[in-house]
Amino acid sequence: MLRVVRRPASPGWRGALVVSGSALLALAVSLLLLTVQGVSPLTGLKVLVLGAFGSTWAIEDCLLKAIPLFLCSLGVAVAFRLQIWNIGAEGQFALGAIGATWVALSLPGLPKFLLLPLMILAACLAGGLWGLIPAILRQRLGASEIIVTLMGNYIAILLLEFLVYGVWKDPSGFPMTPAFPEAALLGTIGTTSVNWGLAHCLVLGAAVWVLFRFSRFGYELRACGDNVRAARYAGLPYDRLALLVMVLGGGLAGWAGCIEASASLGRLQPSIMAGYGYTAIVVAWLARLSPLYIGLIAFLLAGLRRGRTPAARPAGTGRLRFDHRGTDPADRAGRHLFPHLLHRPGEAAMNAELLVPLFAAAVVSGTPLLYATLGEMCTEKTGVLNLGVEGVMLVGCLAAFVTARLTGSPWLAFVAAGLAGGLFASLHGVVCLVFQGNQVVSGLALTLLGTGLANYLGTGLVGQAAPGFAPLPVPVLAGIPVLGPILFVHDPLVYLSYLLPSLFWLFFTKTRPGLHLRAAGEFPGAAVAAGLNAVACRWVGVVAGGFLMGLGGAYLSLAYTHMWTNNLTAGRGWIAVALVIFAFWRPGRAVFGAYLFGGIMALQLRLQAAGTTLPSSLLLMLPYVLTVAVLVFSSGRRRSAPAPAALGTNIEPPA
Amino acid sequence: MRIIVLCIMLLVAPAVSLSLAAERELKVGFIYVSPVGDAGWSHAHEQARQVIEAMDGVSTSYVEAVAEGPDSERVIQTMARKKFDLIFATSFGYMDSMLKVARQFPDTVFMHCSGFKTAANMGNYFGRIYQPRYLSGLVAGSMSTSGVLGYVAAFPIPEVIRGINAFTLGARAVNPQATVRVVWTKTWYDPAKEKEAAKSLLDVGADVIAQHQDSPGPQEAAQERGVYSIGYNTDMSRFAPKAHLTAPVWNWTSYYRQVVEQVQNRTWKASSDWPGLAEGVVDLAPFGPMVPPAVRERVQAKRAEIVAGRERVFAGPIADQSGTVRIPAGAVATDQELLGMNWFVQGVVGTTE
Repeated sequence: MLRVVRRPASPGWRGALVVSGSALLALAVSLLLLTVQGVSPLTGLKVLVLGAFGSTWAIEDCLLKAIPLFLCSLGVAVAFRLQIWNIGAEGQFALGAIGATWVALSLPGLPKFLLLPLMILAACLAGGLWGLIPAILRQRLGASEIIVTLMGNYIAILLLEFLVYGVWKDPSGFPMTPAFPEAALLGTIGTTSVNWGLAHCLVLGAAVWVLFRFSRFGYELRACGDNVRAARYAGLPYDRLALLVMVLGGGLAGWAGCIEASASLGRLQPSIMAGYGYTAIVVAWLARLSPLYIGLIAFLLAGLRRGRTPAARPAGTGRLRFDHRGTDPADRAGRHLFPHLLHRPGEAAMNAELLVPLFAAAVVSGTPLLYATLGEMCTEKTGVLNLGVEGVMLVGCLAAFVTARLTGSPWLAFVAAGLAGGLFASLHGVVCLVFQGNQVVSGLALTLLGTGLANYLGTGLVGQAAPGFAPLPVPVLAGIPVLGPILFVHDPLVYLSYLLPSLFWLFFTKTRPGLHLRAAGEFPGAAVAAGLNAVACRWVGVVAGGFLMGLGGAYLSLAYTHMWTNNLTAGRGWIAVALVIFAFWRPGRAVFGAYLFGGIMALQLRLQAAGTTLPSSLLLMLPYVLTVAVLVFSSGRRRSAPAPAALGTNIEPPA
Repeated sequence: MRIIVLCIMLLVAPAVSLSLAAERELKVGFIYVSPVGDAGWSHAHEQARQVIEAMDGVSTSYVEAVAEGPDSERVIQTMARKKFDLIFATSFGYMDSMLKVARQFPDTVFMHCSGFKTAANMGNYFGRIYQPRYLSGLVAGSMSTSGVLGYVAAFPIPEVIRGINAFTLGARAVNPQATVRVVWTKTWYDPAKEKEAAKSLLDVGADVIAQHQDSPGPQEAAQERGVYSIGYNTDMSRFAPKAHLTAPVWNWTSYYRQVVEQVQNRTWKASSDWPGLAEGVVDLAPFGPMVPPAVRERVQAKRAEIVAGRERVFAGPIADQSGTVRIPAGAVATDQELLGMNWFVQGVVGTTE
C-alpha cells in the first residue's frame, strides 16, 4: 500500500521558532550545568553574553571566528540544497590551506596583488578537487558521499601533518612551515583586528544568495533537491549539478582554509584544524541553508565559542571535583602479569617476537572499535544512521570513569557507561523518530554535544586515575603457543567482546525480534503493513546501539588506560562509522576490520621501536584509504547491496 | 645606538604607567596548553602559580587547555585587555601570537616559555631540564640489564632531541653498550597512545622506559610489565610505585617569584633566561626504593659537579649516530647549538625526522 501524502507546508516563522527555541534550550542546559557547579545562572548568563558580545573587541573576535565558519557553512549549504550530504568541509578546508601554503612558499617573490589571488585560486582548486572525488565516486560507483567525505577529512588532515612534519618543516625543527612572506598575508581592516576575509565573506555570501535566488542554476538546484526523479524526467542535468555543487562547496571551504593560514597564522601548522568544518554543518542546517541566516548563525556560534573559552576565570572556582577515596590505581595496575608470557627477549625468532605482541596489541586497541562498530551496526540495521558515535562513546567513557571513581567497581562502571550511552543516543531517537529530524545533522549535533559535554565535565578530572580492569590471562588457553599470547592475556572486557559478534549475528539472523528490527531497516512500510511497530523497532536499535557505543567508550577509560583525559576517544567513533561499511553490515567482518584498524596504529609505533622508519602520517592514512576502497568495491556490486535499504530515511508518521 | 635608545624608551613607558598604579595589585596571568590536572607540564606551572597567588599584592588567574594557534592569540589578547600586568604563556606554540600581542600592549610584561623570540616587553625563559635528564640516564643505565632503554617522545623538536641526547649520554656513561630506542607519539598528552608506544618499546626488549610526555601512561605500561621507568615533569611515583626510579622535574616557583618581584619593583628587563640545576628550576625527583645506594651516590656526586659548574653535559667528544664527531674533544656545546639541536648522539636508535 503506497500513499502519497503532501507534507504540511512549513511556514517561515516556524523555522525561526525552531531555531530560536533550540538556541534557548541550549542556553538553558548550559546555565543548568553552571548551576550544578554552584555558579548562579544570572552570573553565568552575564559572563557568557559579555564574554561573547560585551565589547568591540569581543565582537571583533566573533567576526574573526565567524569568517571560516561562514565560508565552510556556505559550501556545505550548496551541496545540501541538492540533498548531497557533504560532511567533508573539514578536509576541503585542510586542502585549501595546503594549496595556499604551496603557492606562498614556492612563489615568495611575487607582489601581494598577484600572490594573494594565486593563493586563493590554489586553495579553491585544491578544496574543489577534494570535493570532486567523493562526487565522482558517488555518481559512477554509488559510493555514499557521507562516508567518502568523512574519510577524506582524515586523509586530508594526515596529509597536512605529513607535509608539515616533512618537506615543509621549518628550519627551526618545529612542526610547522616557515612563516609566509609579507606579501602572502591577508591584512586587517583599518585599525581593527578583523582581517579582510570578512569582505570576502560578504561578497561570496551575496554571490551565493543571488545564485540561489535568481539564476537558472539556483532554480535547477531547488528543483532537483526537492525531487530528483521528477527533475530528471524534466530533463534537468542532475549529474552535472551534483559534481558542480561539490566542487563549489569544496572551493568555498578551501577559501576558508586559505584565509586561516594567511590571516590568522601566517604559516601552516597542524593547529589550524579547529573543527570549523564540522560546526559548519550544524550552522548550515540551523540556518536552513540560507546565506543570510548562515552569516547570522555563524556569528552567534562563534560568540558562544568565544564566551566559553578565553574569559580568564579566577583560579579555583567553578570546578567539578570528586574526592579521591583512596583509590590508588597503582594497586590494581601493579600486578606482575605473567611476565614470562609477555616478555621474552632473545628467545624466539625476530619475527614471532615482534608479530605476537603486535597482534596482541591489535586486539586490545581494536576492542573499543569493535564495541562501537557493533553498536552502530545495530542502529543502522533498523534503518537509522547515527553519526554521533564519537559523542556517545565519549559520554560513556566519562560515565564509566566517574562511576568507577565514586563506587570503585569497574563492572558497575561498565554498565553505567552502557546506560549513559543508551540514554544519550536516545536524544537522536527523539530528534529523528519523534520529530522526523534529519539523521545526518542530528548525528553530527550529537557528536558535537557529546564531546563538548564530556570535555566540559571532564576537564577537572584530567590526570586523575580511577580503578579499572587489569589483564587477566585465561589459565589454560593462555598457554597455547602463538594464539594464547595473542588472544588470551587480556582484560575481561576483551573476552566479553569475543562473544558479542556471534550473539549479534544469532540475534539478527535467527531470532524473531532480530528479524523485526531488520524489517524496520529494510522496508518499514512492509513492516508496518505486517503489523509491526516500526518506530518502536527503531527505538530499540538506537538505544541498544547507544548502549554498545557507551561500552566501547568505557573500554578506553576502564581498561585501555585508567586515567582521564579530554577526547580520550580521539576519533575512534568516526572509525566505527566507517567500519560498519567496511564490514558490509556483517558482525564477522566487523571483528576483522576492528583488529585491522587497531593493528595499524600499533604497527606504526612498533615499526619505530624496531628502528624502521616510515612516515607515520602515511601509515595512519592507510585504514581510511582502505575504507574508501572497500566502500567503492562494495557499492560497485549493486546486486548485493549490503546496506539496509531504508537506511537514513525517516518513517513518515501516519497522517 | 638608536635601537638601544628605543628600547630604553619602551622600557620606561611601562615603568611610568606602572608607577601611576603603584598601589594596585599586580595581576598575573598564566596560559596553559593542557588542563592543570594533567600531572605533567601544566601541572608543574600551576603549582608555582599557587605559590605566587599567596604573595602579597599579587592576584593570579589562569586559562587552561588553550590550543596553540589562532585561539591562543585571542586568549593572550583578552588577558592584556583586562589589564593584566604580567602574562606567562607556557607553550612553544604561543610564541608568534604572544609577540603579536606584545606589540599592541607595550605596558604589559609578556613572558614566553621555551621559545626564542623577545621584544622590549617580552622575555623568554626555559629550564635546563637536560641536566637532570642526564642524571636520570645514569640511573637508567645502571638499572638496565638488557642495555636497551626505551624513550617515549612527543615531537621531534630541539627541546626533546636535546633531552634524549642527554639521557643517552648519561646511560652510556655507566654502560657504554647501552642503546636508547625512540618512539615518537606526536602528542604531548594522550595516555592511551603513550602507553601503547611504551608497550611497543617493551616488546623490543627495553627494560627501562623514559618519557618526554605529559601523562603517566608510559609509567603504567612499565609497571604492568614489571620493568623500570623514569618519569617526567613531576614526581610520577604515585602512578607506578614499583617501576618509578626517578624523574627529571620542574620547579618553577623560585623563578616565577623572582620575575614577579622584578615586575613589582620595576626592575624587570626583557631577556632570555635559561636557569638549570644550580638555580633550582629543574631537579631530580626522589629515588625509588629499588635504586641501590651505590647508584644514588654516583648520581648525587655528578649532580653536585653540575651544580658547581665543574661538569658539563654536552662536553666533547660527542659523536652523532653516524659516528661523525659533532662536538670535538675539549669543546662544550654552546647554548645556541643546544637550542637548535636536531641530531641524535651515538647510541640512539631512531630518527629525528
